[in-house]
Amino acid sequence: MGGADAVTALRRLAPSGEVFAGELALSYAEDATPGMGGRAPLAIVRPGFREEVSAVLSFCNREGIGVIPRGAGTNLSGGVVATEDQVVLAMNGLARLVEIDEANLTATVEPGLVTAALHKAVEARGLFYPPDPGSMAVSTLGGNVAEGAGGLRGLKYGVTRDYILGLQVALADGQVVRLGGKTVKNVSGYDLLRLLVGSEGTLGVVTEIIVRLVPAPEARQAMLAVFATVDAAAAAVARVIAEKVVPATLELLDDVTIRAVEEYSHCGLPAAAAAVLLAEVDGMPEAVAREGERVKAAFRAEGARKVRVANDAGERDQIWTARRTAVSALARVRPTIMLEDATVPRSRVPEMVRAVGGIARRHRLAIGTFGHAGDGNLHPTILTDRRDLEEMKRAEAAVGEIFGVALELGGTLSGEHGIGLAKRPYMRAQFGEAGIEVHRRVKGALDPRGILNPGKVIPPRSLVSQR
Amino acid sequence: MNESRRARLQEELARCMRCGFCQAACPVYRERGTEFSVARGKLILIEAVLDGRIGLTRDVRDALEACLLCKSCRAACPSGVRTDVILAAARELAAERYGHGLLKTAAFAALKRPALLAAAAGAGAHLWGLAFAPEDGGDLWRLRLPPGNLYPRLPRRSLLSRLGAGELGATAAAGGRAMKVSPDTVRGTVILFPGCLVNFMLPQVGLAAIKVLLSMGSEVIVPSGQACCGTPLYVNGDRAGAGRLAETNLSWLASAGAAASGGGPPVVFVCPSCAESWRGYPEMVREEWTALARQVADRVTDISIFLTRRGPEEFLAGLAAAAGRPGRGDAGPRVTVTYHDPCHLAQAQGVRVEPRALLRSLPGVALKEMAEPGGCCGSGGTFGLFHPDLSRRIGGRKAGDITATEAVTVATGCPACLLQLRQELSAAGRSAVGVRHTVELLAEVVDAGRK
Ligand SMILES: Cc1cc2nc3c(=O)[nH]c(=O)nc-3n(C[C@H](O)[C@H](O)[C@H](O)COP(=O)(O)OP(=O)(O)OC[C@H]3O[C@@H](n4cnc5c(N)ncnc54)[C@H](O)[C@@H]3O)c2cc1C
Ligand code: SF4
Ligand code: SF4
Repeated sequence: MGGADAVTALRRLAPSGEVFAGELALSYAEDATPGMGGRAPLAIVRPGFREEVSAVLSFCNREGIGVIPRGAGTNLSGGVVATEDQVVLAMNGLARLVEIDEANLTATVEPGLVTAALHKAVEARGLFYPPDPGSMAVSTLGGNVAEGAGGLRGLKYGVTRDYILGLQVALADGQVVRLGGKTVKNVSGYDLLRLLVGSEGTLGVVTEIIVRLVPAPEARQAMLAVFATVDAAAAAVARVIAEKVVPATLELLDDVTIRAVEEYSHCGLPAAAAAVLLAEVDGMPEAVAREGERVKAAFRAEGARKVRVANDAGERDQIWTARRTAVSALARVRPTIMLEDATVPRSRVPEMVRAVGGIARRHRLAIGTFGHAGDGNLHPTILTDRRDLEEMKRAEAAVGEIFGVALELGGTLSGEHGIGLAKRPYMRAQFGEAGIEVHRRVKGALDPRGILNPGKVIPPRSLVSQR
Repeated sequence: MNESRRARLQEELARCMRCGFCQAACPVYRERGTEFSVARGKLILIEAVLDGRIGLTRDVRDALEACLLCKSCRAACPSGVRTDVILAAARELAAERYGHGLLKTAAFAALKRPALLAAAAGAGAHLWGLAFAPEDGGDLWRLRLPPGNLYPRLPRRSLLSRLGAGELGATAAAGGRAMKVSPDTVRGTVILFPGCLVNFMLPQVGLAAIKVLLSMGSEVIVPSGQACCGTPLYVNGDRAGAGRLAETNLSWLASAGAAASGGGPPVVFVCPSCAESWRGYPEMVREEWTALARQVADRVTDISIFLTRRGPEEFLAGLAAAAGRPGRGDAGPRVTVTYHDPCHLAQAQGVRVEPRALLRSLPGVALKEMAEPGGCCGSGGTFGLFHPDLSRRIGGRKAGDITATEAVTVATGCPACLLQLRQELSAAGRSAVGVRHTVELLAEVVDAGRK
């Protein structure tokens, strides 16, 4: 079926939505993942009603046309990179906040709602939706669910997966199922809800989401500590945890990142420091004061050279500027950044950081590492230029080695960004042939014709045997 | 577009890391939700056009046109991509290959010739209505002029002709190339560039600015024959044309500057789009002008910055003295005023605090923020002419935010926003809400003191 025919058919199926093809479709070829290529898809459908999602799916399933569900297109694993025979289902037109249920502490939303918009709405009622990916100003909740997105507050509050109570899902053939609901407890049937979370658009299209809310913490305290070595910082992380304090956030910046951030935002980081830790404790005011002291003591005990505590909202803001601008700062050093998220058990963080340093030297690359040290989810970020093909080759090789080390240390390829296309070649290293076969069977059971986000997550057999 | 400019454009494009963060800032994306509406999608298309992967088809050109050039994406971009430069360059490319729509061509002809503009205004003609009168069926379907006038009827006389007639005691200076208005005691000199909208449509804003500057002891020099700042040409792909206008203005400045008491006085603007254009002159003019353009660019100042340069407190004291009565302590009835952040002032120049400080300093004024003061008003120069529905949707949202504050007056720092807000409020049945330039409210205090 050509683009024009597909457009005609799809227009009939999604009359309230927008349907187009041609040159403009090229703007849907890529996402935030560098170096993935991507072609103008066959057509774009942006439904205005949920029912249209089902109609489009059932049509594509019949015709054997691949469908890529897409939110804001900010994922970092090539999850919505398109080919010319696929249809992109742009879900950001379904963006209603259906309800905030204060009695049950839930919110019901459509998948296209922007994460930060949900934050704003629930915070206005003294409630709190903790998952806060760095992209929350634009990412959609559907994309968060499909990637199992994390964020800065993961250490204490967990990630998206921990807040999903219910989903409405359109299956590959267009049938609609409801999984979970508003109840906190629910063990009926298999845990299909959790299967769908993190399924990257390959098992079904999410059309409604019920999230769990918590009361907003009454107080917060942020602090920043400077360390002479990454090991000292890592030891400080371990000591905080051993002290049985769980900060909402515990973030690390390495020397490359510190220098980039300081150059960019002049927020007063010592350019000579090897590592900076940023922490925030939250909760009841008395508990916050007590825990804040304990975190500070733990930092000092591990040789923190300087501990700065925020005394008011302005100072808190200043401290978080350092972390918030990390991506921007690194992005300005070179045109392209490759933001990885290989994750290790938190006790192995120092080894991971050292290994990344070695890999950077061997491949003559600049790599800045920052991220969620508290939960072992670091972001080694390769600074490169997508037009320099030779350097991109070295970067690819470095990424492969980073994954290798993470797995050796008992970690995983991805803590929060997903597999998509970018990490697919490494799946076998983590799961082995048998593990991949399980993925294939699940996929085959839910999407027998293989139309949902084809080619993502599961490596094709040929690719598996190569690696 | 020559090879080296093309290469520079590609270099700039390569810095986009496709993070999509511009989605949060783009007023057009907010309404449309399609990738090609936002900077990221547009940049993908432009890159493909330069690589020859796609043609500059009608669809692509339309996508590039559906943009307010509001610079919000540039302000939001973590990579610091100069999206405004890229978007303007792409329009230049489109103009090179396909010409400007005939409608726009007619308008540009008028903008390029100050005399024609003045004549049109003098005849009381509706500037944009005249300039955009369709000449050819080709573009006719795209021009959906809203019922009634898009802009209010032109005032009978422009700012410059009123000053020429000696209003506010203006006298000729610099051999007739400039006009000068002096306070009783001169404490400094500024050059005021009013810009077309203020000159032809809102002369009262220019007069207000002069009154306030005079009350602060500034001698004000105004060009007798300003040229358009170049924005409408530049953003529509006529960089060369914009460059010639820039040179006209620079050469005027060089001679009028001679009339100033001190060397190199600040160049003060009441229109942030004009100011932004002047800041960009170094990249628009020909080689021999760049040195002057750079030097002048450093002196470009928004009036709110100029007035608060010694702190709003000092300004308030000065204003109170000029008005002959105490300022903030004034215990009269308080009226609620809200403030709209113009994109080219807040997003492009980062000026948000100063106008608010000025408004707060006014006696009897309570400043109440609207829900999204930085939300675009939907004007975007000629955007409203070609995309009336989108413009109305963006503007309607704004009008709703304004009325929700129950403010009597909305102040803003941009003449284009001012006209757009008036239209949107009247469309919403709220024409009772006053729309004023910040300096107009300041001038009222000065006037009150004079009485
Ligand atoms: C600068 C930057 C910082 C980031 N920081 C973080 C961070 O701190 N933590 C983090 O976890 N991630 C982060 N991300 C990655 C990204 O923002 C997240 O993965 C986010 O969840 C993607 O949401 P999206 O709406 O953009 O989805 P998209 O990128 O459009 O899609 C992501 C996946 O979800 C699928 N999908 C989308 N909508 C649906 C639906 N309705 N039904 C089924 N499948 C669907 C797609 O097919 C795709 O597989 C960051 C990205 C950037 C660019
Ligand atoms: S915010 Fe900047 S870097 Fe990110 S997609 Fe938009 S233009 Fe590109
Ligand atoms: S200039 Fe304004 S309208 Fe145009 S893409 Fe950027 S944010 Fe959107």
